[in-house]
Amino acid sequence: MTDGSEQLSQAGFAEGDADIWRAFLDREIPLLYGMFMNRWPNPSLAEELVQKTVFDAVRGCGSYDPSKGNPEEWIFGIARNNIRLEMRKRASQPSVNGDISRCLELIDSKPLPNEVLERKETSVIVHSALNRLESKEQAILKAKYIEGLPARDIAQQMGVKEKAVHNLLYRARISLREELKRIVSLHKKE
Amino acid sequence: MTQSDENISRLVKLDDDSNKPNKAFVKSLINNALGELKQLKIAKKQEIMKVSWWEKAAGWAAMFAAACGAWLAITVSALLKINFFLEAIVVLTTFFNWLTYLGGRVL
Repeated sequence: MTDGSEQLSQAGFAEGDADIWRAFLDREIPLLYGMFMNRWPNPSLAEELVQKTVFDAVRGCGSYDPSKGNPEEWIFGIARNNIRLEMRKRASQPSVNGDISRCLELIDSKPLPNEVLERKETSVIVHSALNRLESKEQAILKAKYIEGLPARDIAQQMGVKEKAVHNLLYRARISLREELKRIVSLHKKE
Repeated sequence: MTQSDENISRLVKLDDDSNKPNKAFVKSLINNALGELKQLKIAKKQEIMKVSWWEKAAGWAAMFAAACGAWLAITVSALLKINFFLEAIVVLTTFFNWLTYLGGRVL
């Protein structure tokens, strides 16, 4: 990009030009997600922090000063600030102290702490629980939660009606919950 | 979404090794962010329009005050000039009266 067009694009960015912002976010969201995932291997938290960073940037776009750096540096500054806030929040929360099976047993009633989601052990438990499900149940859970597809798109992919997708999703969630509880109880006995 | 569904969603996402956000999330986030950006721009415009309405009112008030001031200055200055002529007429009249009186006495 030449200096002139870069300046023009930075001015458009500060003014909130929709096309410039669309291209910018399309480029930066995966990078921000990668940055948060490197810090905490927790996709839900990474999505939450990316969302917070993007909205902080949108709301503060009027305060962007091109003389202090390009938009990429600016949004990464906001992201680093959000990491600091998250670290501060974690410092004030009690630690799980290794008892992740207790947390997994309570998935029906309490939100899972991020600390539990970031343990390698939790990933292993989830992976083996998913592998024990029927292939259709595995596919629907991955399509819904990993690919983030809406029920209509899943129905098209699987060649079934939308209602059938909701039913299958409901059954798959119950099966996964039971498998998780079974694996956790086995871990406890060991 | 119940607590259980929320937790299941967070757990299933752990099985994704791609280290990349899913396309649906990116698309939805971009659309929401652009929607927010548009709203902010509209709010900013409305604020500017509000300010300019006040500015217009203040401008009209200033113009009216300036016109009143000019009218007052012209009127006062005209009255002062009239006052000067009246004084001159009084002085001249007095002077001629004296001349007439003295002339009467001499002749």
